Amino acid sequence: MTNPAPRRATYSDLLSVPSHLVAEIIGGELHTQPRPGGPHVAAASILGMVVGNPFHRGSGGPGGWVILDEPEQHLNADVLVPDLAGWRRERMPAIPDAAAFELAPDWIREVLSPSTEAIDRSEKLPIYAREKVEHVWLLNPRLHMLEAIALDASGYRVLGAWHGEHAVRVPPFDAVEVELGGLKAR
Amino acid sequence: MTLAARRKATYDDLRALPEHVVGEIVGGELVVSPRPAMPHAAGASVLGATLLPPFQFGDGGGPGGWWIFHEPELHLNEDVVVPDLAGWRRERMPASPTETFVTLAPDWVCEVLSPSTSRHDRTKKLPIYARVGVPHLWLLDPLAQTLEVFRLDAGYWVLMAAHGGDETIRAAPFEAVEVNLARLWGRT
Repeated sequence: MTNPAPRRATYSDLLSVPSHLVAEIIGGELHTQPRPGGPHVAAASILGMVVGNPFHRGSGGPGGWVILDEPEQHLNADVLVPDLAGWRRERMPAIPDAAAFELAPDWIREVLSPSTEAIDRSEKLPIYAREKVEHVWLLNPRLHMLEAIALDASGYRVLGAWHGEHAVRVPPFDAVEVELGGLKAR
Repeated sequence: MTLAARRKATYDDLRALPEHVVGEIVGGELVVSPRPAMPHAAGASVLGATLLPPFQFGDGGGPGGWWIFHEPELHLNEDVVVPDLAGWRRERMPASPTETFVTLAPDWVCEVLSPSTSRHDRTKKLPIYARVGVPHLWLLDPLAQTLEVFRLDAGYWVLMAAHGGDETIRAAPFEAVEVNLARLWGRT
């Protein structure tokens, strides 16, 4: 007797997940993980401020973006929660008053942890490519490493990977320097 | 007080290293890494064992036409790097090298990532391979259990695919043969 195909996860499955977990639906499967721990959150928060202040708030930078923490992205049948996402204001003149965001961002920042790195690279990146997310940053807080990729006709190409104490300018936010040393958890 | 300029590392510095480490010279700096440990070493061994018979020896109806080596020492301009695996098409390298190092850029490189080397591999070695025009690059991470496949396009690495889990996959430039990922992670 053949096994029946596993049922695809639905949004109500996601709503049943306890609130202390982060839940996503990727390729029809429900994925849950515990909320990230201290060093992950610290590095993610600092990078969020470094980008958010100049580009969302226009403080020390050109503004022009909407940058949001953990928006629940409904991208066709997938439900993904990137750590941080940004939209150019011309594409999102007003922030929707809803829990679900259907407009794919122009930029996504994922923070890699040992339990999520494989899914981030092998399952979420193809979805972001499919949805034409132009820029993706992958931050590894344990290694203090930032990788940036950008979408072109062939797919995602690597703009670079950086670590160390020096400051770097990384598209699409190259108007501002990011100091990688500042991402260490203190 | 000004700091004296750091002396650029030389090949003598590399030769002076003890046996149990891997030495490289990247951007004038000596970089010392531990010798690959498990599961890193297992991933490299299994991948070599998968690719050599069909692509180096033409076994099992494989196309042959390649030389594939574990940890060849590459002298690429001023850098000395040691990828975990590298391959050359025989039209570019007709005979197996007789010297201890190779100056001809490979046609394919595979780096096996470990927690102590993945940052160095991604931030320093990938740009070197791009600069010398290596057309195909694989990054194998036995702990995350992912295989990322890149192609060089106009000087940039384009991500062609990132495979995970226990899939059986085909990846350029070795698409003629299936690679069983579960074997790379030591799961069978």
